[in-house]
Amino acid sequence: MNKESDVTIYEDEWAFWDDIAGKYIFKHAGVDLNTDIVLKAAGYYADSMVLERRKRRRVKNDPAQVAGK
Amino acid sequence: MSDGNNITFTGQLFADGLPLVLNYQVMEQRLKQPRITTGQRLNAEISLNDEISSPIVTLADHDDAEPLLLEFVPDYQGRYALNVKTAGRYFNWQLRLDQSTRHLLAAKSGGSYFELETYAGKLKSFGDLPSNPVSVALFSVEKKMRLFQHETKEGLTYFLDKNPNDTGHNAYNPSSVSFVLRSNPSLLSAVA
Repeated sequence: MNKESDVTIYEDEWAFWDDIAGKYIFKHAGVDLNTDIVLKAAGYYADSMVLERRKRRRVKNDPAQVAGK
Repeated sequence: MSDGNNITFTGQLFADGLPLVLNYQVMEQRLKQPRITTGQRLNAEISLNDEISSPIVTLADHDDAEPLLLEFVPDYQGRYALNVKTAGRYFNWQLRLDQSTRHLLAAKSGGSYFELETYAGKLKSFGDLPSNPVSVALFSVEKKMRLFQHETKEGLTYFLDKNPNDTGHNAYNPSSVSFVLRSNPSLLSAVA
């Protein structure tokens, strides 16, 4: 897989990382695949999504808009 | 400036909703991101110092990036030379199609000529622009071809006046890029 070594995850990204990895394992773990493959792939997906997420720009909501005014 | 057919104007180009910039501007922006991995940092630093890749015209990572400011200098018969007017390393360089790779990049001299084509046909002068911003195709005078857009495996988008389809299969033939030209409003009002 074309990927850099393990990504350093910031504290506020852990929940997101866990969510991706957990869902991947939940969907793909089974008797027909080697555990190592599933684990590596889950980490790969989670790392990649964290990197992809960092590319997005986040803008704070305008409070007036949130209140529906 | 007095001749209505030979107005020099400045403007910015967009494609896919993203501003056209030079690759070194993209790399500078990436290095400013606080959460960048060592691999990403090294790649950006390599591109930044590479004389071949840094002046390539590409698309910005974000739609709010500052677009490359271009000066459109009319030649005769509706041909335009494009000069970089963004302050920095490539100020006053000219846009050129590289003679071997045909990539669109900034070069110190020997700029290429382009024609601007709107849905109403080729643009003869600045006053012919039907609206601002306006959709345009950039037409390479050398190759008599509209510019195409392509991407390297590493994700660098570039523009060229050669069919980037190297598979030989005509199903992969691309269509030309539809740019959006936003000309500088201060100059518009000066003309009016």
